[in-house]
Amino acid sequence: MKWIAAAIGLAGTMCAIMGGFQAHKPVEIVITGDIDGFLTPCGCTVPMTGGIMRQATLVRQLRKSAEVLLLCNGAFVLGRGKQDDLKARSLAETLGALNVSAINLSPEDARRGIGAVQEIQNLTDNSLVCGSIRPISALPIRTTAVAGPILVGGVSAHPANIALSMGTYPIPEADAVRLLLREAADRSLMPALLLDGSQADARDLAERFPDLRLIVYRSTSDSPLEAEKIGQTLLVTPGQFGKSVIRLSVDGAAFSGYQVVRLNPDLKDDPLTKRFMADYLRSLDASGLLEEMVRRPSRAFAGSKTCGTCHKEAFNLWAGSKHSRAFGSLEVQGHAHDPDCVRCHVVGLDLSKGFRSRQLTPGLAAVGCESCHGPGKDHAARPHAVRLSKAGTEMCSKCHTPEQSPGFNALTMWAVIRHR
Amino acid sequence: MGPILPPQCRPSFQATVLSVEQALQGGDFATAAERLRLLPTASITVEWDDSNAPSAYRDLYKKSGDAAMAMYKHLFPFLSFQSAKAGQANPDIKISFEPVLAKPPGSNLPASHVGFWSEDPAAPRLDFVIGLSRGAPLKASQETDVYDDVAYCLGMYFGLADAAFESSSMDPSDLPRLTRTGVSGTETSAVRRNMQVVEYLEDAVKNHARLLAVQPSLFLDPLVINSQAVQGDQMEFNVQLSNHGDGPLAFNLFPDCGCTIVTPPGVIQPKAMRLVNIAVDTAAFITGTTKHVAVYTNDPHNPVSVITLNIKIQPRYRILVPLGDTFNIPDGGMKFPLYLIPAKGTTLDPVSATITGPLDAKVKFSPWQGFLPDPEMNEGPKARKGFKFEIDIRGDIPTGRRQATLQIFTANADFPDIAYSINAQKGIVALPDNVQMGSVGAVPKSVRFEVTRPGPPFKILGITSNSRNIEANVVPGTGPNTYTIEVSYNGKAHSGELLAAVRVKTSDPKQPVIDVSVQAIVQ
Repeated sequence: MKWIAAAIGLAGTMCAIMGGFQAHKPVEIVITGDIDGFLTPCGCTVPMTGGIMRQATLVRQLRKSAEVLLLCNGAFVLGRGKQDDLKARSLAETLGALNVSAINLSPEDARRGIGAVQEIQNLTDNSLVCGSIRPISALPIRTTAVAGPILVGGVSAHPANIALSMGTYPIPEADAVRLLLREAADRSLMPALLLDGSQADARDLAERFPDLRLIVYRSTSDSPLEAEKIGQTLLVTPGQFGKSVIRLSVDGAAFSGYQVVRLNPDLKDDPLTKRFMADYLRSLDASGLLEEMVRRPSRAFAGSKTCGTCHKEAFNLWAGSKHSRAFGSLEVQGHAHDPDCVRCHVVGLDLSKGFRSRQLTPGLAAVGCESCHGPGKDHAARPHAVRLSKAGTEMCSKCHTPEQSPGFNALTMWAVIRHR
Repeated sequence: MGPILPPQCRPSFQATVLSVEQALQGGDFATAAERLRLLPTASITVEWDDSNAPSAYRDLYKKSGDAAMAMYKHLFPFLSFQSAKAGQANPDIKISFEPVLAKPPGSNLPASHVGFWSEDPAAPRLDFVIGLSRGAPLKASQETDVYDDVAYCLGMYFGLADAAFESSSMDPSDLPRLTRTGVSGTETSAVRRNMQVVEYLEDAVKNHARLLAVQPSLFLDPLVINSQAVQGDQMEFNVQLSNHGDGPLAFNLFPDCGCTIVTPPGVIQPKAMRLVNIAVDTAAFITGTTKHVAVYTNDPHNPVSVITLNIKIQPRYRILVPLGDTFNIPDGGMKFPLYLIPAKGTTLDPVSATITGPLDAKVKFSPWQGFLPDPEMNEGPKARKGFKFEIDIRGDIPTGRRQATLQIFTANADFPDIAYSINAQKGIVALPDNVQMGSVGAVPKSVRFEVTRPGPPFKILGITSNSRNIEANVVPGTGPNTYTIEVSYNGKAHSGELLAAVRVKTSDPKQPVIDVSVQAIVQ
């Protein structure tokens, strides 16, 4: 009896030391989320950051020296098309292979339908968590997951969105958080929340529920370099487009060692994830998505070579530019059937008379004259009767977006391609 | 007047430059020559003292340090590095190691490195100490940590101030590093300019030139900007940079996002003011975003300041579908509404609309106003104004799940067409329609899929598989509208790609079988 009493006493002391939580050896936590379909870093400028292959490398690298838990705040993709499904599958495969501990079910992922959600469950060993909807008999989703010394819950600030997509009823955010806190207290685990909500939502919850130890929120900004803390609640976000992940340490009493890890090119591609990506590209090739593209009616194109017969100086300038090799660069990288990429590397992918394939429309397999000036076949036939509009730097921003061309300076680059 | 120092110039470097200039101004050329010796030189002696480092790590650390110096040599070919022997009287830099460094004030992490300046000719000019352990919990310093620390040390020696953002060599963070960081463009320019300043002062001392010692002083307003925008707006903000000092103020603005464009670097004369422009393209954001712009200057008291931009962003338009995104089409077909709600002040008049894809559907639209919720934006029912699109899907579509796209063409040049995906489902479907098991090994694994029809109930009469390694069964208790099927892999397939088909027999004579493919990579 003395031995039992001593053991109970010791356990009580340990609980007191660890602030009421189970003692646990320190573990590392890597937090990702809001990949939004950016499986690979995309763009025309280097160095690009992000990509799931680098993310996987990072996790495996850290696991060489420590126990690492991986948490994901959802939003695999933003759209609901076939390509989104293929992307989400590759990401789920990657996270599953990395033994992800918990994935928050986001409205974007739920909107792709119950089959898509089931697929994430299949590929990640049922790692989805969602406390924001009433249970669905056809597709059980846990409300919480135990990850080392923490209890991870998934909650949405917009539960109606998820409920509508999954054919069930929403649970108000505050009720879902209360259930998480109660379970965490019962199990002496540190409550951590994967939140489908903004920084403002996270701050509000941290103030209303001071027992929460960690809130991972969603943001369209980059991750702050310093973590925000409200009371004892740490507020973090992995940012958007999978450009960085958050790294933390936890020992059963507190989170520490907040770090934003940019996924820069020094992190080599993970071989297994590379294989998933190769599968993804093969599936894209087979899916014929380019042929299924939604196209607007348009006039006919002439091709840059035709333009060059009169506009020789402009043609020569273009022929020496990267624009003239834009589609070739995609072919080299294996993305020549990827609508996400092809639209900015050819002429008129979204137009009825625009690019189809290198074989069918060889004159349009580049960023050509008509990418900016519009279809020119009529102009080529009757140059003085049909005039094409002049183009300015505003055309650049259609493809050189902040995410695809970070740091792109239209004025500087305009000087390079300017012609009469 | 002396040369203008570059932005991101370290206060200690500026103080030394000022002391040389003050001596020159007073005609004290001996003191000027003495102070000049404290400035960085292109031929650097480095003492590498790894006697405190564990023997197993010494070689790794040395290689990392050499690699950082090689990176500097590559960027600045005019530099040369010589090794100083241990105990040599006056190396320019001494790099040594200590087990754990003290925590800097206000930090809960031990310092990863610390640098001490000395004006004693018998001591190293910069005594730089690297922690052998760092982080919380403490971990042994790795190759990347030492590389980054030595790069930081060199930046410090050449007069670089700490960076505002990570991903450059002057990031002062004490956390363990996972990758090597490089010297940014701003830092490269600053090192070159600092070395030009040193050369200029050397000539001035040699020629006994009299220089006027001056210093700039920055006033920056505002440091935080809160604003609102409609998605796609090009937001422009002006920030006032004033120079209250008596020397020219050099500045360089550096945003943390490609969506932000800033005024190019410049110089503000003493007692002058300039408005600098920061433009943010909000096209990629909805709801809101926070961006930062670092302002690097040569003000010794404010080498780096950070402007924060908080922008609340309202979407340009919303598409609201009260019935959800997936429609179960009964035999007679169905009609459903979809609403296009432009933001206030945005003209987004539809010109035409069409449905593309494998659905026999028609669409017509008309102006609309009424009450609707927008759950995604957390808005309950409220008065909205826009256009109602009535989509009419005919009932004789094939069974299964189809995706089509509603295309709305508008008169707005910025949004000439808006596309929206519609999922239509008829009859019994498998969700997902092909089952991916991912990577499997030599142990059994199970995954699930649903066979569902929201309309009349149906029965599953049997399930077969064409693979000896794959078995499928109905999960008991499911049905009669939605059945869960569990697919089990027995862990016995050869490595490579596993392809199988599961055939579900149903009681519906129109759809007697549903075929579902099963795929896995066997490791």
